[in-house]
Amino acid sequence: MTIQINRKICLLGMYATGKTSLIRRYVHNIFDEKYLSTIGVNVSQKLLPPLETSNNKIVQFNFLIWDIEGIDRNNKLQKNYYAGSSGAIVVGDLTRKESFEVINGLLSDFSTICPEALIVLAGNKKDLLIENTDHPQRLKELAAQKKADYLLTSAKTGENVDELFLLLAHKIKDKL
Amino acid sequence: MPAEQANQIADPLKNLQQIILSDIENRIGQLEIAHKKLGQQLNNKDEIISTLSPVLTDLLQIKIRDSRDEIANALSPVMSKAIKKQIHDSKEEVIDALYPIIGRMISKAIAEALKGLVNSINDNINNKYNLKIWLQRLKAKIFGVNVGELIIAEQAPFAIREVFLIAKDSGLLISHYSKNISGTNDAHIIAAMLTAIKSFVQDAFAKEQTGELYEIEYSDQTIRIEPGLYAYLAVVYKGVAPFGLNEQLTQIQERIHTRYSRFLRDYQGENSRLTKIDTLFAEFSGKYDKERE
Repeated sequence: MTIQINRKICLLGMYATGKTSLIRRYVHNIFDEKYLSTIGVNVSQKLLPPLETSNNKIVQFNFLIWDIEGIDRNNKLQKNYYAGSSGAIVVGDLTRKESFEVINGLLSDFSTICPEALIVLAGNKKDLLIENTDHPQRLKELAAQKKADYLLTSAKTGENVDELFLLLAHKIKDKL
Repeated sequence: MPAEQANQIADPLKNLQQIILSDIENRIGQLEIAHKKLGQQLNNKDEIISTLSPVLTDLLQIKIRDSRDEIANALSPVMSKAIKKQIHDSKEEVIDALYPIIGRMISKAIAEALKGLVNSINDNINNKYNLKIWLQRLKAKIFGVNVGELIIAEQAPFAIREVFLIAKDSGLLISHYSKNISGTNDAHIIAAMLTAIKSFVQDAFAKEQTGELYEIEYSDQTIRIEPGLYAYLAVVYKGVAPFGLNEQLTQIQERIHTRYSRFLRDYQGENSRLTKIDTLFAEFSGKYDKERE
């Protein structure tokens, strides 16, 4: 018997890193550059494929993905949106170094509110990556420092988008 | 024949040819000018309009008189678009034009509804031996309101459409009841967004005072929120809430938190063990349906 489990996931990162495009690609399988912003958060839902746990149970995650706008560390509302999350995907833009500089602070705030939550880092816009740039290396270092997994993704081509969410799902499943 | 003599004979012929052909040449010239002018007119939009406009109205009138259906079929695909555009472009004028008609229609509808309400209240009050009226009097005393007010509130249309039990922090949907069998497809997203909105409102007003968001109104629908320690209830209803609805919700919330306290505290997104809450919501909604029958 498959057990369905609802989980809240946060998508964090600097503006214009492609967070919303990643969700749109993943949830609706389309790429759209328009950014939808309402009250600083936009929620999407995705039912993942069933996964087998270590004790042979079949679980299926229903991810409620909170796309949270903004990186202002003094914004209390933004932090309120983190509450009750099981995991977070933190997105950096492979074409902008500064997008990786904010990740440490974001993760620090997020982990204070959700200490048990699992983290996956994403270096998005792989399709625009310029050769010999050290941004992927920066992402790798950040991931190692935070003991988190990471993937290079492209919301435009769809590369590694499903894998990104599945990676987080596996990490959550392993903790059940 | 000598050349001089031959010329004398040819000249009259030439004269005759000139007499006959000059008229034809003139006419050809006139036709060419007319043809050129016509060509210019056909290529010039303004010229076509000025040529056709004097007869266009007559033409349309004749066509409408003789082939009404044909004209209706031809115009119907663009009529709704044209009306929409007209309303969009000149809202004020359209309102001015429609106000006298719609105003009268609304007045008539309200008068009819009030008449029905008055008759219904009269029926209730006049029947002294009706058990229901005695119960209503008792209820009015308990809530400290006038019996008339209570009867009016209970005569008004009211229906519970959906009930959500939502985890307070995560916004995850714990349980959901919908009157519609197919339910709301996006119940999980609604639960999450409602939680975000609650958070947003609390944050926006937190500088002035701490508190809770209790109600959201949209058109004739209301979302009533009943806060709880681990989860909150959100009830979507249509119409006018009867007296005692909020107290009923508080009681349900207390029952849920007493019975499922540990489950709610440790909630990790698994809903399969909560079928009893769905039943509770269905009973709660059904109770109001029966009262209105």
